[in-house]
Amino acid sequence: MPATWTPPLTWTTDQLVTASDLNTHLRDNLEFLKDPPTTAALLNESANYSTTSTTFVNVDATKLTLTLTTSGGAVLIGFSGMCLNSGGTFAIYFDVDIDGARFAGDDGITGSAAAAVEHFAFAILKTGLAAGTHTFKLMWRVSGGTGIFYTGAGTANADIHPYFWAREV
Amino acid sequence: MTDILIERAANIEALEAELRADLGALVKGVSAGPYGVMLHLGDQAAARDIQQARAIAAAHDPAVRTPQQIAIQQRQQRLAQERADHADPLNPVDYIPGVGAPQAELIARLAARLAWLETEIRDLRGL
Repeated sequence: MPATWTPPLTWTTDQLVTASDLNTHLRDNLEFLKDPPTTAALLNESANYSTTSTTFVNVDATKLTLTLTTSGGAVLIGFSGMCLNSGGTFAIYFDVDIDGARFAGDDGITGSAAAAVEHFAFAILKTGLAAGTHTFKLMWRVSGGTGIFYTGAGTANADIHPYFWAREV
Repeated sequence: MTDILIERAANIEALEAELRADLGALVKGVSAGPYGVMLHLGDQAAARDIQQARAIAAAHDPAVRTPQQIAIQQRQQRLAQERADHADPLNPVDYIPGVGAPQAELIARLAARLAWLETEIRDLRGL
């Protein structure tokens, strides 16, 4: 079982330090910092994703929805993948829904016209999350046309495996 | 957003057009993936709208392409033919006036190459 974070004690003069104190406030906290809560999805699917939605929607409500139980720290979230808009001049946009609200809003975190297969990637730092369980959903939309999101499904020259991850920092 | 999961194959562009023809602006788009096909309707979708969307999706024929998809395929076929027609690299010596073919023919051949290059550029730009 991974260690949990405990707010460190403020030590006082002549305080009796027990093994339990050391285990909780030094060992466990160091172990937590060494291996903080982390979750990730590396896809290898049988079919690519596609969308015609001009409103932000989940890329995959199951496989690209991450759940992380945090101790109140900020969360670093990252994504890397390849996409194409088969409509040519139209764009693809990405954002992350965190506990029901989009991180960036508007046209999202990143976006680009993708007339050819194009790389999309971002890393964002979400602060202000209370300790507890949080969900992170990768979302996308297009400005028109059809967006294609490669999933390692064997497409020639685009057999790319997207990676979506989150880690408390 | 009201998401409706349909577990069947679909031509999502055609399916969206079919949904929009009936449900108008209530339709936000269609997505697909390993999970199946997802119809995206606005928050104001009523039960009868969802039922209608399901019925349209059930009747959808994924083999039927949209006019735009047909046009794209025809353009790609024309481009493939033009690439085959111009497979040999252009040799400037062949275009010296007075040496080989009549000037009008040389101009016509150059114009054909130029038109092909324009088609290639338009394709790269997604136009």
